[in-house]
Amino acid sequence: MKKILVYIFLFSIIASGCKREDDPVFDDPDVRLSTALSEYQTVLLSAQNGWKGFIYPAGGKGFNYYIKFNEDGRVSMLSDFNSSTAETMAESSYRLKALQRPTLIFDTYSYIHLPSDPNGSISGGTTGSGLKSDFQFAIISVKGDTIEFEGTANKNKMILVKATAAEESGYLAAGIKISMQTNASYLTANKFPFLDFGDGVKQSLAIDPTAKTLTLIYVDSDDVSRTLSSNFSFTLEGLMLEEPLVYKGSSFNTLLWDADAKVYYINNKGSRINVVNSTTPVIPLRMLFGPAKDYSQIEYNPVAVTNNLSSDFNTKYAAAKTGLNGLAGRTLNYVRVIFTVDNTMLLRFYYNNTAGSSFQANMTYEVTKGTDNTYSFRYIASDNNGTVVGSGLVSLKDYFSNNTFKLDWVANPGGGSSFGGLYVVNDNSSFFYGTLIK
Amino acid sequence: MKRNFIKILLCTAAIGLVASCKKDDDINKEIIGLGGDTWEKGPIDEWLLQNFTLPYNIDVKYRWDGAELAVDRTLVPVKEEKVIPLMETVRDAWIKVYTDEIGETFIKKLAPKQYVLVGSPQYNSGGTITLGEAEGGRKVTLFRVNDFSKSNRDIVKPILKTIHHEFGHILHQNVMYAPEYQLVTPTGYTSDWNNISVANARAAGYISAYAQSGPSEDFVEMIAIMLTEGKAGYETIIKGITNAAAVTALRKKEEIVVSYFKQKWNIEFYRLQNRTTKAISSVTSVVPLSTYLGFGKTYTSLAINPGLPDLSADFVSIFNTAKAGLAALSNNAGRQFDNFTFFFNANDEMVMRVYYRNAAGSAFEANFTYKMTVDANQNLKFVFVSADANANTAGPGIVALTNYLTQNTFKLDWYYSQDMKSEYGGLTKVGDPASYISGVLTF
Repeated sequence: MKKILVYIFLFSIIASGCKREDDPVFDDPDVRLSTALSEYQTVLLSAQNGWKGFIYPAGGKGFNYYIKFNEDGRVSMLSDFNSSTAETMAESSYRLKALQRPTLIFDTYSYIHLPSDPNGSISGGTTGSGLKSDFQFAIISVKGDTIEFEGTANKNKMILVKATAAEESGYLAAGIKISMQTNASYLTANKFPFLDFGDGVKQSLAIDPTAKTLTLIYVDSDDVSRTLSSNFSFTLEGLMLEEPLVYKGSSFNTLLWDADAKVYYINNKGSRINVVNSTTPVIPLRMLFGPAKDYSQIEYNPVAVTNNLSSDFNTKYAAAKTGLNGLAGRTLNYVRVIFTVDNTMLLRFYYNNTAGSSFQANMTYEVTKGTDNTYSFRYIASDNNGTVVGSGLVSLKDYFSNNTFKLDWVANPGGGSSFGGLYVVNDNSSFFYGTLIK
Repeated sequence: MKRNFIKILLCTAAIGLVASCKKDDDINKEIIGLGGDTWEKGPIDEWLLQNFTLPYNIDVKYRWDGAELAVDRTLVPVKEEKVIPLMETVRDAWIKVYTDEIGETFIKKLAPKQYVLVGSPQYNSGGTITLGEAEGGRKVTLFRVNDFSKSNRDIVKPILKTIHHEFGHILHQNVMYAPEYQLVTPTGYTSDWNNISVANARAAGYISAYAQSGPSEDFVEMIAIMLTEGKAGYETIIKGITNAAAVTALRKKEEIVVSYFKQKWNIEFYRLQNRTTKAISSVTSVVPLSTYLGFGKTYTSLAINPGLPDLSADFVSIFNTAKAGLAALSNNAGRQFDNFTFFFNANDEMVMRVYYRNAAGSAFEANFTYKMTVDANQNLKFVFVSADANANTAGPGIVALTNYLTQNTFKLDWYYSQDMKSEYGGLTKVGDPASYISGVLTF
């Protein structure tokens, strides 16, 4: 019996061994490959008005391309790489080739190679590797009017979206260059743009057209400064971000330009939010002010700072000037508030005697910071000069010890850098202010 | 036993059946991608086909093919508009130099079969860049094509140096150079060559730092530098070396290279050198002769021998008039005008020394001193200053020559003999290129 089983087994081998199942389930792979390549070629040519391309290289920045493929292996493009590439169409060659995957190769130099150029002065990246961009792209998917690619060298994602006829004529009329110029003049005119998603938190919005980054900075409920950032590229409508910026359920990935109102805006869940320009920096000064921070001193110098922004302070300063002058004709030049590391505040007066020699007088205050970010100052002592001239400066000396203050920006009516100010709590019209010093 | 026999038979039959199964794969079917890439041919492809592929069987790959290049480097493709100017230069200053010298078969047989062009330089980890690479005499990769500018000699020359260098390798891989070569400076070869300055390499008897990386590199560096620098450039390099032993070593290497070309390939190396120099100068900008000839320069004098061929007809007739004039002096005393030399003794001075013999055969020299001025266009003018006693005697006889010199403006030019064996310097009359005095550049 056992032997019969063996024979049956052997015969089954003979029977089955003879049948060559040579037909693969699908077609021959080579045939399928060449079919796929010609299908992709058809897809590339199907965009009658060309493609909008986006690539955000691993080495930074982001680029928008207008690309049009021709059937003779030629390709034309525009790019927001610089103002000249945004205006002058460049023609080069491309081909589709089966590497590991069906791959689109831009095989002679054009604008798409600029970020890849290993010469750092061309690409704006590191010499030797450029911005780690790509110019050979494996086709990942074709969905609707969008093709998704992956770069073969640096794995950058590239998206091509079919352009409309209107978009094509926009690109051909140097539309990206116009967007870039619009942005440059916007940044000149708007020093402190910010967004408010509706919760009252001002989000400082910084656009760096060189690094191609858009950054939001805001102070959260824990009084900690938070940063959201994304690379962007210039489009006909404004800016296109690499990744959406998300804040408390709101998000946006395009910054759109309203040419009539001359403002940027975003669409947040269907409703429009304008970017607003502030007259002073959006990040509260208290985040930046203090010992070992960006600033620790405020100097009021009537020669350098716009006078009489606060009439109350102006009166006090004038009184001190008169008072000092009453002490043997000394001249008060300017005054500084200095926050020191040992939790004291120095009120420092700079003055001349009649012979023209310069002196400083220092008064030291103890600083108490309230929970609501208020400051109160308790006078402790004066140095030698302070003792000599203190009686003349009593109006300013008492101004600081008698009030509670809040730090904030003071708009500079001259258009220069914003001033720092100490506002009297409960009286916004009374404040000490001046140039911010590190 | 019988059963066993049947079993064996069955097994054999089974194996036989399996093995004999018919395979009907179509082995003639096309494999995708095999046989090279295809694309719509454009004007560049057609130009390359006509100028490289058809005549010399050289394939020029200008379209990006990552498979030909190092995967760990960042490189970019070439700009299309650079391809033809670059390859014209390669054709005119490399292929044509050899075909003019030895015929087309030589290049067809030995030229690398493929050129791969890359737009950017190849950056190396040590901070250096690679401009060219060769693989086994078959493929040469040229980098930095996007910077190519035909009019810029500083870009053209390194590329040609790379090509001549790589071709040098092919030559010695076919027929080895004399083993004595590596014994000229045997001790200095090092893999640490990139930390050696050119000056130190030359002071040690190597033409370049890279030549110190090994005897074969040394050999082809000698070839490439002698060809692309030209005779004057090469002599300038030699003159800049103060170490006498190093100069001796380089002269020895030069001699081996020259005899290698003559014996193994039947090529006159110095003629090849002149052809290369002339070709480079005709495709790109010329190095002015004044760089090499003048007071304190590589060459300080120009020896004019009227016996040489290749002189301008205008000059020959002037010389013959002067010769007859000198012979006629002192009632046909029969002085014999042999030749003359221009010595550049100071920045603004030129001495013309006339060599002649009297009827008895005794040799004399007559020195005419001129003030030399150079204008903004680098044109030269000579004003007579003084003459020595012999010159006072001979002067009236050779007035045709001295007038030619003082009554015209000249510019310095390169000249080559008809057979390309000699490189000459010359003073060309401004406004009349057919009238010039050419002679041998001497130290």
